Amino acid sequence: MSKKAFPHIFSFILPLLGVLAMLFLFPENTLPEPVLELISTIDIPENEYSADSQTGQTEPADALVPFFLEEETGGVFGYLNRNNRLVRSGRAVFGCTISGTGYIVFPKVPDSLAINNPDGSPAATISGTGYPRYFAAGKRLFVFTSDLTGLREINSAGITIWRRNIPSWITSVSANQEIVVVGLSSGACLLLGKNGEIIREMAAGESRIACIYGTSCEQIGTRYAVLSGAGPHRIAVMEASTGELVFKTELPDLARTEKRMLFSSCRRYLFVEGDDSVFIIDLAEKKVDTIFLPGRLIAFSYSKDSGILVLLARRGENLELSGLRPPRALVFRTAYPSVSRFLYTDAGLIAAGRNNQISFFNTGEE
Amino acid sequence: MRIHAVMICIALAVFLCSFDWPLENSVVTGTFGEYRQDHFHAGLDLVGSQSAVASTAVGAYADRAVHVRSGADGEIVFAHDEGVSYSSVPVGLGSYVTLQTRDRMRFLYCHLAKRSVRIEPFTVAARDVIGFAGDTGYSGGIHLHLGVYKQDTQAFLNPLEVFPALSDTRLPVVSGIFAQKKGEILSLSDGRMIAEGEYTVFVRTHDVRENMHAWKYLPYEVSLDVNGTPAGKVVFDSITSQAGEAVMGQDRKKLYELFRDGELYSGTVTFSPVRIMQGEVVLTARVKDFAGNQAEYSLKFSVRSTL
Repeated sequence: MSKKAFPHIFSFILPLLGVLAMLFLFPENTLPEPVLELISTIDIPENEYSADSQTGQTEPADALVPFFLEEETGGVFGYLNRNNRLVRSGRAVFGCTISGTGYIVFPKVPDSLAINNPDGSPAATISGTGYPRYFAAGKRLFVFTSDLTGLREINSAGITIWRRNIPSWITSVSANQEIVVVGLSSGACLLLGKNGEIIREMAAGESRIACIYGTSCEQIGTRYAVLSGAGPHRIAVMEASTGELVFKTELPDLARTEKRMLFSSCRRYLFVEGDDSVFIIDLAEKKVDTIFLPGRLIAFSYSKDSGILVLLARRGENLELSGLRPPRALVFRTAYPSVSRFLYTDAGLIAAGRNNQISFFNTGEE
Repeated sequence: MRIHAVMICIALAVFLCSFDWPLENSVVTGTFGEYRQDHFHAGLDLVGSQSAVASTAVGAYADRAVHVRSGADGEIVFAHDEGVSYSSVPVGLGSYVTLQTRDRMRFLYCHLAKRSVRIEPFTVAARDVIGFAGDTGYSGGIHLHLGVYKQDTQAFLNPLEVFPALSDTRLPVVSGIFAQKKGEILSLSDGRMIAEGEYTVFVRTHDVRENMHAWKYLPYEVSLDVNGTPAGKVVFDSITSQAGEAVMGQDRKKLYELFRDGELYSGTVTFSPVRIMQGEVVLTARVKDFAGNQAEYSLKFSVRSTL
């Protein structure tokens, strides 16, 4: 064997060993690679539109997908059916909260509120002033006082079920069908039950600056998470029923605004918005990964079926839609110009808002 | 002992004078404790004049804006920019900033102009511009809502207690005293006869200030005497929460029981129960504003036995 042949062998074997090592160390990369496939795009009319009035058919409420193409002020709202067709749309000049069960369009000074059915017919009125928002996938409706020192839950008939005044002002709220997590500016956090009763009250933590910057609770499950304090921020994940601490860690000091937080439906991950980044907290491995984004996070959603975290981030005039398989594997990325914000994922389908349009993507595998 | 008292007074004076009004030429347009339909006003509404001094701290339009300046050295605790920042709740406070001082006092500056909110750097010096007065959130015109919150006691304080005194020489007004028994409202007037018993007594009152003639403010203190004996006093100095309800002052009076429904700004302050016994009775309402101007209103009437 000549001296010259030696390097040739190494130049072949070394990369091969490298590839084998990669496959061994990062087995998730060997999974089929999801691709983002644009299925269709539909135009959303600016003016009021109702397909029911044209076809004479009414879509069942549980087959509707609500959307709100949110802009800096107001936006276009409506419903899609499961065939990605537009059922109804309208414009909210200031604000809108929408769910599969109905919607409320409210003005800047909301002194009277009306709940509409998805077909636009009036369902109920809510007495008193306040700002409404649906939680728990539309199964719970809360009205917040205009100074954020109180909240009340409203039933489908527009009746107040319970109300509670807060000894501070609210900075973050999340809810599922069983609990409501209310984060306060004072740094305290209230865990409320179905009827607004206090299950547990957490005092402000040890951070130099006490405040709650984010809350989240599992939609199906019993865990909830709280992002509290500044200098540094602290994340705590707890069991609602027992108060047991599941996990806690510190995060670097972030801009002191509310942060989005989301549990994956598989219960393994907690996703936390950072400054132009997302923290992926693996609750099983008890470790934190950071994903950097091209700009500010606009929305995120976790698709249980594909196991992909879908991120929508602002990149200048564009929005960037990207998907990654936790903890770090980027699987798709696309950018498009848009001022309106909307993201919906279901069973591998992604619906994303653009300027008066909704695009539907499929995350197939190849 | 006297030296201690003097030192405490000096310390208090230094503490109170260490804050500056956030707007140039601050004019109060809404007072502490007012009933605002879904809440009680836990701060002051202010308007001010446009500043000629340009600010590089918070972006464009600086030379044409009403600058909101930090009242003290502190640190940003929380900021929200309407339509720009994420919020899980709809924010009637609009774009707002919360600052904390070294003494754990918090200042809340609300309804700031969109995109004017200072989010970083976190450390703020007194007189730093932290935003521009705006009309975001639950607001009917450009103004600043200024809140003061004491973190240690979890109470909102009347900002007039904390900031330097504003000129106010006009007297508050008491425009009537009413009594209610079993749902019936009696307009009390001199010489009228009523039956003895326990009543709910309403004092209709408002305050006025020299530069806002048509405006009605809530006074600072309202008290009621029956034949010279105190029957109740409300001081609008702090709001906190007790058992899920908003309460006012050190006596922790429930705010929803303090006002008659529908009384928005003028304030019809409620005293209940007030025991009125047989004989000649003089009801006296005393109302003070924060500057100490006082108005008094008395009614004399006869009370008959229910036997």
